[in-house]
Amino acid sequence: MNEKISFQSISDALVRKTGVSKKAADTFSKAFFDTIVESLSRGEDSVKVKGLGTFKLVTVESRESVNVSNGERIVIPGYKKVSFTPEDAVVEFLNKGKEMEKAEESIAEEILPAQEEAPVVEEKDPVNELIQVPEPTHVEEKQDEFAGIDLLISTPESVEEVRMQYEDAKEKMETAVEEARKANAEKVRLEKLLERLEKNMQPELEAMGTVAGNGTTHLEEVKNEEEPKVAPLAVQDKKEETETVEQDIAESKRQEAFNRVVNSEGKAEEKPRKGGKGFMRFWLVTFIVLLLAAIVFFLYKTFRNIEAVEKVPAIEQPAKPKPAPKAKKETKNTADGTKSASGVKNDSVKADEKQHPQQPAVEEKPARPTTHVMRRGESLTRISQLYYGTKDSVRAIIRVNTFNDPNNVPVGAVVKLP
Amino acid sequence: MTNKEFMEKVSQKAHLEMEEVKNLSSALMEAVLEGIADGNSVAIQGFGVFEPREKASRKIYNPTTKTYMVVPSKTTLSYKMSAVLKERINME
Repeated sequence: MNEKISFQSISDALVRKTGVSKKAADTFSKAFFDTIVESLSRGEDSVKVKGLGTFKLVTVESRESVNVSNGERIVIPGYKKVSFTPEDAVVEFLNKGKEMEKAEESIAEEILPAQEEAPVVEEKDPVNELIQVPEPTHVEEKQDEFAGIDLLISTPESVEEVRMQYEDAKEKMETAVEEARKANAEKVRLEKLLERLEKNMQPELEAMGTVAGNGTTHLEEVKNEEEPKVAPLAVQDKKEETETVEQDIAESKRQEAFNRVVNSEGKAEEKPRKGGKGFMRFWLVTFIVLLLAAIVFFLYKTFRNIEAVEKVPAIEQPAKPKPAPKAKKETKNTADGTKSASGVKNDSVKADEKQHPQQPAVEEKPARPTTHVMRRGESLTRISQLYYGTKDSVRAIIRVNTFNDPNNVPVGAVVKLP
Repeated sequence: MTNKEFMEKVSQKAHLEMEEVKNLSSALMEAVLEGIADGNSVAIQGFGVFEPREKASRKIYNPTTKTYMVVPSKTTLSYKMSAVLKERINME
C-alpha cells in the first residue's frame, strides 16, 4: 500500500505475465510510453489507449498573479499539460474490490436511508436558504442601480396624467361646443320667429298705427322685439362663456402640457381669437391638432431623454485611443494617392505623421477610464481584454472591485479599473 | 489519435508484430492497474505518475424528483505528467 511502483517493477511484472524476455519487456514498455509522449509533443490532440484511458493535451491560459513577498504583479505564463481521463472499465476495475466491501456497507445503508431521509428533508431548508440568501441582495443592488431610471420612467406617468387632463378638458370642450351649437340653433329659431312675427305684425301694425296711434303698437313692438333680442344676447353670452371656458381650458392645458414645449406655446398664443361662427370649428380643430402634436412631441422628448440616459455609459466607454492612429493611416493613404497633385503639402503631412505614430502609445495610459459600466453580454475577461490587452488582468479587476459573483456581474454595474 | 493508430506506432517503434503489441500492452495495463488497485502509485520515468485517488461520497439533489441521493465514494485513476514531459510538450 502507498508504495511507488517503478518502471522496473512494471516490466518485471510484464515478464512474469507474458513470459517474454526482460529485454523485450523493457523495450516494449519504453516504446509504449515514448509513443504517447512523442505523439503528444508532436501536436497530437489526444491519444487513446485502450484499457487505460485518454491522454489529452490541454492548454492552460496565462494568468496574472501577485508575488507574495513583494506584492509585485506577475504574469504566470500559459503552458500545455497532459490531462488523463481513465476509461470507465478502469474505474470499474479499481472499484471492484471496494464493491465487495461496499456490499456489506450497503446493506447497512439500506436500513439507514429511511433514517437518512428524515434529516434530508430538514436539510432542504438550509440549502434553499443558502441559495436564496444571495438573491435578495442582488435584487436590491439592481433596484439601486435602476433607481435613476425608475425616476425617469415615472415621467411617462406624468405624461399620462397630462393626457388624462387633456381628455377631461376635451370632454368639457365638447360639451361647451354642443352648448354653443344649441345656442346657435336657438338663435336661428328665434330670429326666424322674429321675422315671422314682424311679417305677421306689419299689416296689423300699419293698421294699428293708422287706427290707434303709436302708443300701444309701440309697446307691442317693444315686447315682440325685446324677446328675440334677449335671446340673441343670451346666445352671445353663452358663446362668450364657452369661449372663455375654452380659453381657460387652453390656458390650463398650455401650462400643463406645453410648459416644456416652447415652440408650440408661441404658436398657441398666435392663434386667432375671433369669435366668429365660422372660425369656431376651425379654431377648435387647429387647437386639437396642435395639442396632439404637442403631446406627441412631449412623449418623444421624454423617451429620447430616457434613451440618452441609457446611452450615457456607451459614450463613456469608447475612450480608447485606437481610432486616432487609424484615421491617421487613412489620411496617409489618401495623401499618397494625391502625391502627384501636391508634393509639398504631402511632405509636411508626412512629417507630421512621422511624429505622431509614437504618441498613441504614450497617450494610452491617461486615456484609460477609471470605471467601466457593464453592458449586456460583457464579461470581466472581455473588459480586461479591452482595456489592458490581456485576459490576465481579470484577477486584478476582481481584487479592486467587490462582486457578488465575478462570473456574473449584473448589467449596469460600475466596474472600477485598477 | 485512436487506439489502433497508437498500437501501430508502438509496433513500429518496438519492432514487434501487432499481435504481440496487443498482448503486451494489455499485460502492461494489467500490471499497472493491479498496482493501482493495491493502492500503490505507479511512476514511470519521463512520463508521469499514475495514482489511485479517492473520491469521497457526496449527496446530490435531483431537482425533478426533489430527492437527495448519495453517490458512493469511489476510486479513480489520476495521472500527473512528469516535469520532463511538461518540458517536452512546451518546447516549441
